[in-house]
Amino acid sequence: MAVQDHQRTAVVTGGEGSIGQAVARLLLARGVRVVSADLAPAHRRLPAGDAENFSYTGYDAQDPESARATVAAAGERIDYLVLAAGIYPARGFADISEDEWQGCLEINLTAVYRMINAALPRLAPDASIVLVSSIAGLRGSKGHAHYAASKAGLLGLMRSLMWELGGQRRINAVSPGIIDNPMTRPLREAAGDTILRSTPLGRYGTADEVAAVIGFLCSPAASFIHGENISINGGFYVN
Amino acid sequence: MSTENHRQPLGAVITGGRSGIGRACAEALLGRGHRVAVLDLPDGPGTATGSGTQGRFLQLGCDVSDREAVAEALATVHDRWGGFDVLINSAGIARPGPSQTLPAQDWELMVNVHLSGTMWACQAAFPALSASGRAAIVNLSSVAGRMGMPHRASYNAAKAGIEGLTRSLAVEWAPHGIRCNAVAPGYVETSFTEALAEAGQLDKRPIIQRTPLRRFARPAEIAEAILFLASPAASFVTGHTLVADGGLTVDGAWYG
Repeated sequence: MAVQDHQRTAVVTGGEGSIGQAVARLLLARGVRVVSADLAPAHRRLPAGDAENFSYTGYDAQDPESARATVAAAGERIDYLVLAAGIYPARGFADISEDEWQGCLEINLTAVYRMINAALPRLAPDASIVLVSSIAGLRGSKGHAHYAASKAGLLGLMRSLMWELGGQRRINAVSPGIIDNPMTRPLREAAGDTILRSTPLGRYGTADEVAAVIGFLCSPAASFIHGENISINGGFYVN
Repeated sequence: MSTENHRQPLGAVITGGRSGIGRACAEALLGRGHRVAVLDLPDGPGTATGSGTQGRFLQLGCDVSDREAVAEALATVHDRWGGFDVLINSAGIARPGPSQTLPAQDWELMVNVHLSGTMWACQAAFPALSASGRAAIVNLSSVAGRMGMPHRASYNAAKAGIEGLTRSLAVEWAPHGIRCNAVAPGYVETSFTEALAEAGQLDKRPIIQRTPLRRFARPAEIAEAILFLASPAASFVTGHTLVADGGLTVDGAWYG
């Protein structure tokens, strides 16, 4: 019999961002204990039952020690590891400085290596890791070369690591398209309706819709899905 | 589990629903209180699953490669239920053989059942699906749709074709409130693969060796992936082929 969700623990980096918060809400509703790791706590109110299962821990993706502290805060066993911390810098390629490039790669890619590396000894035998890649990691993104490279890098990491996790541990990714959240506001404002016109579903996605897919990957329903990258883009990528 | 989000659907139509993956989908949906109509060959293998489902189960004999028969069967479902909002195209057969001597009838049968059958069912389902306003199609591809495999040319081509069809319908029918996705299973323990293994046409050991999860899937695991895509949990997912293969197609093992 599978371990029940109320006995499980999830670590969500970027847990105070829009997607991270949506993931935390969804997992808490299933009874999962959630450790949210982020630079600063967001102001929010959780239902009483959920508040007991929720904790926040300070997490700095640019601090190598921070990953170890974060997994220690989770306790002995981690069942779900959702790595949603990331930044979305916009800069034409010619103007990306060495520092900006390194910073983006460190936060979006190297920090994921550090988190998984630190979590390995604590991963449950059927643990599920979910990386948050992006449509930019598949198609590229004009004016976001460093971001796109970091998100594509996550997929290479996933496809290699899947052979080394062992047991029934799984690693997968999601690649959101354009989600209606603060991170994409500048892009949406600059794009006018051009993105919506090439999105078959005719709308932006929501953080809850991304969380719903992550929640599926962090469930026994996805028990044979390993090394997969699920696009959540309303058909944008297809068109 | 994503099924917490399952809205009560008008009903699901499942082609090839009497055995294997289609049957697992039918059982899971019936178990969750949904209505299920199964289209399958009138005298094919497998058994019906609908006992104790209080009129929520329909079974119609139908060859999916026969466009008129599919239209008639789906019209019957539409009449009986007043509509349906999920279509799962899982009818499939196997006719492996060396390409240099593959008989025309084997090639045509494979393409007709898998690719044309999927198209005819989608086409016949369009009126009901578009009327529902929030419908989902899930087609069955296969890891064979993405990998080269000896003696499987017709199957590979038909499955790759299904992924192309899936992307086109996703884009074309999104404005009609229809999402269209596919699941590409790896190797699954079904009567289909067991028969191939018994006939000496499928060696399970090297496949398990090349699968990071080191096993075949259970039909129920593939059904869960299909039902996820059919559910509101996948409301912004369309045109995607979800690979459920235990990691088989990523295949980094050749390296070390």
